[in-house]
Amino acid sequence: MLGSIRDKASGWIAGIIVGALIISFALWGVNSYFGQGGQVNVAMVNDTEIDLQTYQRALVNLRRQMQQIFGEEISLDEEELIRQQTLQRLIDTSLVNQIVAEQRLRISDQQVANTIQSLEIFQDESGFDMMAYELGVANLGLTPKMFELEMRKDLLAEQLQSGIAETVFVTEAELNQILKLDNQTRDITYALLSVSNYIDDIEVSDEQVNSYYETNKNNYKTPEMVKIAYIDLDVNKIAESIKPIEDELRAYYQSNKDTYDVDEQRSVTKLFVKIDEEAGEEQIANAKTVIENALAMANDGIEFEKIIEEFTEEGKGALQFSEHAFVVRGIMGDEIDEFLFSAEENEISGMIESKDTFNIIKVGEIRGGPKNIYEKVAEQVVNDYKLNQAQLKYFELSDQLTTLAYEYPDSLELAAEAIDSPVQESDYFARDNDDEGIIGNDRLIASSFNEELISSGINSDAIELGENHIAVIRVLEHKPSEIKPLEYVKAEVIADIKQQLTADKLESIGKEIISQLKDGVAPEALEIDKEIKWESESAAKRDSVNISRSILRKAFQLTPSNGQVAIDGYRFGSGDYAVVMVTAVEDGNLDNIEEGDSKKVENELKRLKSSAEWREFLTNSKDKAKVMIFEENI
Amino acid sequence: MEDGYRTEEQQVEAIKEWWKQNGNAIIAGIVIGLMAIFGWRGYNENLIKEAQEASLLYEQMVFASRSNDAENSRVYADRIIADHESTLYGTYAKLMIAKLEAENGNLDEAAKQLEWVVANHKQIEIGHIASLRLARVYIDADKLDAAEQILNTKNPGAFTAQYEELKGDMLAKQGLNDAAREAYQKAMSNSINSNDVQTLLETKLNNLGQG
Repeated sequence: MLGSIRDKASGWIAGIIVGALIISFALWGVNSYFGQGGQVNVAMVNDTEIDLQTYQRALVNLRRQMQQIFGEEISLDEEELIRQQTLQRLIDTSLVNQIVAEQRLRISDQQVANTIQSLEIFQDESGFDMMAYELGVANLGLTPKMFELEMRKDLLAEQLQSGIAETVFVTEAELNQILKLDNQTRDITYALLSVSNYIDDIEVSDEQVNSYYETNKNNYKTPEMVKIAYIDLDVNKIAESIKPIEDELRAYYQSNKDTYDVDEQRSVTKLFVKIDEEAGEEQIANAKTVIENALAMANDGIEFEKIIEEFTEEGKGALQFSEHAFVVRGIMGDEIDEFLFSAEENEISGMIESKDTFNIIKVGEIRGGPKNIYEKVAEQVVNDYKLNQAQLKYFELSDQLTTLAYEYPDSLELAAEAIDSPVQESDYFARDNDDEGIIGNDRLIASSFNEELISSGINSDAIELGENHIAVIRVLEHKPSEIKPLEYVKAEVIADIKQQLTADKLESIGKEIISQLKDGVAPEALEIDKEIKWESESAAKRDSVNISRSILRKAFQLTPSNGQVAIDGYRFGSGDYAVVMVTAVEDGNLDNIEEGDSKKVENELKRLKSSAEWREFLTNSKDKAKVMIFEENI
Repeated sequence: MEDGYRTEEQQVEAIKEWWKQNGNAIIAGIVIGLMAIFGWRGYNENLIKEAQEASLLYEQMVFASRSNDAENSRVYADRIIADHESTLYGTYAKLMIAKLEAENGNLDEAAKQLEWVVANHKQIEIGHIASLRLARVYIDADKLDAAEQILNTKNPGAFTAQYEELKGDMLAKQGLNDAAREAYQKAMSNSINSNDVQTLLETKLNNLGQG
């Protein structure tokens, strides 16, 4: 074969082949020939894959955020919502990245660097902190390179979006129209027919009770209930039972010293005289005299603060004072460090000559280094040690529990014995149980009402209740939901019928009133059985608190036209019925609106417009794109 | 190798011979290849450099706009348009000028900028956004025929709700309350609307009465 290539690879063809190879390697490198095999994808957006790893990382992040907002526990429904949202966000992001690339938006390395350096979480007092940056990025499960790539993508997406958000406008006419509408007032007259005024007039016959009960039986059910046996295995409970002995704790501290120790830090106060670079011998001698005088005073036991005061008063200004809290090695310079990190607390140095300064220093409080001893962190060590031991035990026990519960599916006793934990029994509980403790846990309840577990009566798999916290359950008893016999619920049934009949009656009275009013009968002259009371509110605003929200809402749906009063009714959930009339509408007067308020409305409108534009931008792009979701990989 | 070379010397001879025949072509190939590479890279780098320049100007423009600095917003927008009109940054700069003009009440000038974007956009969604903004300017300027032409688009895509809302605004302005109500109701039937949008539409709808 080589022979035939040699034969054919002659003349200009060879040249072209070699040239082509050079181009392809130079442009795309060798990497593209080694594809990433075995990658699992959860979705495809056009030609871009979203891999499982990315999805899981995003899921963990979103779940963490949710937990911070909504507290510890996340229900199964919420979990599902978080999954969907994570996926949708990744799809949106992928789409935006594609648009950004298509439209050739660019962010320079410098822009990326500037943004990262300005992030507050990566800063300490003196500005950007490289250590904090690397640590923070590692916490996110990323390398700095990956983080910078993500940051670039974020900034590009930002650019795409801000071009829409920052250029949105509201014209004066539009703003005025909304201001007029927002500040509109209405003259409202209304009457409320309330159930309590009519309910006593209603009579209910036995026949009505029977037929109502028959048709609405499902309203009178006992809930489905179960009673379970369970074994609860929780790392925190195991930790409580561990009684460590001091030798073990000390040994644990020694082998994990790095996590407990802090770098040696020392506070220091300093008296010093600076010497000019071009200082002559005389000046140097003067400086020396000053510092020697100061040293003599210090040695007499006079505080540094006092010494500097005296020197200032006497106009021997050359002497200066400074104070530094908890410095580590390498900050004060070698000459000072040598004394600072070998002396005891409160020790005063002799004269230390550093590059262009004469110094006297006094050591303050010492932290870390030789002060890193077990006693300082004993409490934390005890907790950590217990948890550490408990975890080891937990892994062993959870394995035994799961295996034994599976191998002997008809009883929990064997498993309980093996892990030395009791089989507990619950009372009867329903699906909506919200007890504190594990019987109120969503996942445990879901398993307890699992049909298969109920019908077979065998042990469940391990149910994950929290981090390092599982339970295995067995359904002991099951009470299906039952319809309660009529004699137990008769009073309840009668009350329900009365409520419904009253509400229906009020609606028909209300409608009758409305029809008479529409025929031009005056409110006072209506022909009805019971007297009703009319209330009025003139110039009611949208946010008026004098009228019930529902009536106000109804009133603002009514606009009189052609001089006709607008009338309608509203049936409350409680069965009450309101008849609402609007006699006049007045647009807001622009002269009475303060500039600040109008600015607020303007900004609100802009926000509303630009977010609608962006939402529709994304949706429209998504509708055009080829999006595939691989449910089986999620 | 059935025709294998017997000795090393013969092999060396053969290679020399081969090189004599093909050497020039290979060197030419390499030269062409390198030229192509540098040419392509140079072209790309130029594009990147231009985009980065535009990007920096754009960041300045956005910064000025966020600081409510209309004067500098315009200065940077003008510079972007002068040097990078054909990029998306250029399009956004046009939208910026349209906004500044509209807010100053210069509806004709705002319309001119938006018309350019509608005619020259390279991203269909940006086209929709510019069209919708243009329709609003036309309605304000009482150019209802021009507005109607935009709003009767056959392909509103995911922007239907906004097209319908503006139809409602336009029809209400003409006093055609029944048709306006219908447009607002259509706008409200889109699940894409946020709660705030829905409330605003409801307010506009209710204001027309119940017909």
